[in-house]
Amino acid sequence: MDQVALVKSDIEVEGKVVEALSRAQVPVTAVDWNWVPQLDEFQLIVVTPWVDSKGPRETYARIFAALSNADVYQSVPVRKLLVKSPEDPAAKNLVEDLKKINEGAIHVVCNSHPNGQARYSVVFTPYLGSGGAIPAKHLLGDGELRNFLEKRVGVHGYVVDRAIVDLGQSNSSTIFNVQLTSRRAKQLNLAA
Amino acid sequence: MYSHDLSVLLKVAGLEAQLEREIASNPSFAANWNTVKVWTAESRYQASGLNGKDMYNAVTGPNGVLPWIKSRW
Repeated sequence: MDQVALVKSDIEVEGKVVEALSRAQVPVTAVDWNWVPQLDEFQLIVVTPWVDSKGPRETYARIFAALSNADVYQSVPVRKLLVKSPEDPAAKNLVEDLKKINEGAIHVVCNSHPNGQARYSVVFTPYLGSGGAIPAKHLLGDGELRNFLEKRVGVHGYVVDRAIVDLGQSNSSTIFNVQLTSRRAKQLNLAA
Repeated sequence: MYSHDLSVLLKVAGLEAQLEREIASNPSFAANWNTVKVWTAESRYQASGLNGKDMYNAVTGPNGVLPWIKSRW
């Protein structure tokens, strides 16, 4: 099955895990969702040197204790959490991918107004890219658009406010100088 | 067709819901399950060092995966 996009709750889970691990002072090299086609699901990969020094079992136990202490254990799908050593080839690839930051512009176009609600198409065009097809993310209404840009892409609220005003006036808006890692752009369906 | 994938086998055995409940209520079991679930037929040769010891304890130790499965035979 094709990779599906990460949803808002997945991003929130990642934030809860990172916050809990930070509070418990767990050494972490990287945390990110990774699509596993064989299982048809995303797994939350936690890359930590503890896998080598303490072993995977102790690492899981300490991470789950950190989640419990932060009162988020119940809200994290721990079955999908996977620890990896920084020396693991898959973890190395993940860390390398996270370092690849693309800067570009987000273009938003208002296509039509079914049922009175605006239908938006959002595309991300990196300033430097290898070319190829650029997928569009479709959103319905100002609420979905605001949520996507602010919560998932990380655009400041005042920039989103200005974009929504532009869209009301001219049916299109561009947000310049947006930085996204290649992985996050793919997870948000903003890159092929 | 044979499978060694523990997640698949648990599903076939109808134990998935029980596994979810155990993981949600017992972080020690969850740590053992997550350690064991990555086992593959190929990884059985990595029996030495920390990984081998961890796998053994996660399977047979307190809150281990094998006692949990055995109690449902």
